[in-house]
Amino acid sequence: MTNLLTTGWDWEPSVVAGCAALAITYLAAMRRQFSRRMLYFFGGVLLLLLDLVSPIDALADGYLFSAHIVQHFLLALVIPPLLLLGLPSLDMRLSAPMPAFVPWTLGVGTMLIWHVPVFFNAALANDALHIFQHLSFLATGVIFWWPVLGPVDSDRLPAVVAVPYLFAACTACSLLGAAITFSSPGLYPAYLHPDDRLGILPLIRDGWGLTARDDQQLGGLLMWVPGCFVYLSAILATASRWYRTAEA
Amino acid sequence: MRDRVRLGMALFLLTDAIFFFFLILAFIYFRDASLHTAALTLDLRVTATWTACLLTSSLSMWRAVASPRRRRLWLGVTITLGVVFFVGQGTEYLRILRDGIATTQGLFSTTFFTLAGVHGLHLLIGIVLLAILLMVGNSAATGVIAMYWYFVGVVWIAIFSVVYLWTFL
Repeated sequence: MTNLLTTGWDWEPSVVAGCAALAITYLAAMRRQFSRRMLYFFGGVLLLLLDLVSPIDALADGYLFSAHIVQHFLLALVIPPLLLLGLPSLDMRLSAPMPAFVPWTLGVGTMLIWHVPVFFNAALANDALHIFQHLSFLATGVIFWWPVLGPVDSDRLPAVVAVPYLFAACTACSLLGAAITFSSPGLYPAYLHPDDRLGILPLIRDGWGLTARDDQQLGGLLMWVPGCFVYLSAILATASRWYRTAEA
Repeated sequence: MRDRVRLGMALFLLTDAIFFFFLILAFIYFRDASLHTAALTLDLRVTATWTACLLTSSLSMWRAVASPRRRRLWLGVTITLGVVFFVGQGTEYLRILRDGIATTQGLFSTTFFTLAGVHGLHLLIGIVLLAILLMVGNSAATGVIAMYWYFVGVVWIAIFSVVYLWTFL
């Protein structure tokens, strides 16, 4: 365990530079006026950094499918909402709002396509494709959450549309999670017999008791349950905002 | 008033989506045991053709909502495409039944025909609603029935992806 926590960090320069650029651009745009929103934004940036350089990344790349799902879950469902909540609200309309199916299809489609085994395995085997995969989760995550949590009020979906928008995404995510959970082990062969570069495989298999089958099932369940929990929270927040508006 | 009707339809569709979710989940749960039969039985190419008809019908439905002047024309197109899908897939299910895959034989046929049958029933109800709409000419109801029709299309995308694409790709 100590070995994992000490040697499992990979301070990839492009990741560190990207996170620093995000933080500096935000500070410059906010003109150093501190507010509570900053906590959301910097929480998102910090989580992004940890997600991509911490031992989660080492486990995800070489050992555990479930760790990889945690990584994707954070990139698509947690970090984009935090970044968007950190932006100040804008009165102006930046562009004509997109029809809701466009951000929905981009966000959910990215999630579905990258977990099709042939694409997922290709990304594991190719570093450039893997980086593109992570960037696409982040970018389409921001696009997906923009109509729900974005800073431009006129771009936000009305509650009667936002709830089905989120519910449909939750359903799609659940079906994907269920498909992974109930499939035979070996959907993603790299995790059947990992190359033990950090010497932690005995810890995972014997110490944590995670077999390849358990790992795949855990990954599917992580996508299914906590994933849906994020959508459900957003549905409750949207409904609550709607009731408040209706009463006002 | 119209918003209330839309909300009512949205709530109905949310509950209906949960119903379909569990039917699809049952198919996924038994998929490993029924994969061999599915691969031997299903015809991806034929169903993909009918699927294209159903998805196109969502576009024509959208046109019926967006252009009130040509509403009847686009409703007619939507109904025709819906009927083509219904008859096409119905013929496909009959072919499967004639091949000896009865609904009571094994996990594949039970989960597949339950899923396909419930979707077919929804589609039939949708076609009847569209036909009534075409005859009565109530333009206010078009948007609400369109929600139902889009839902039938979206559910079919999920069924087609899980049952057909996942089996063959």
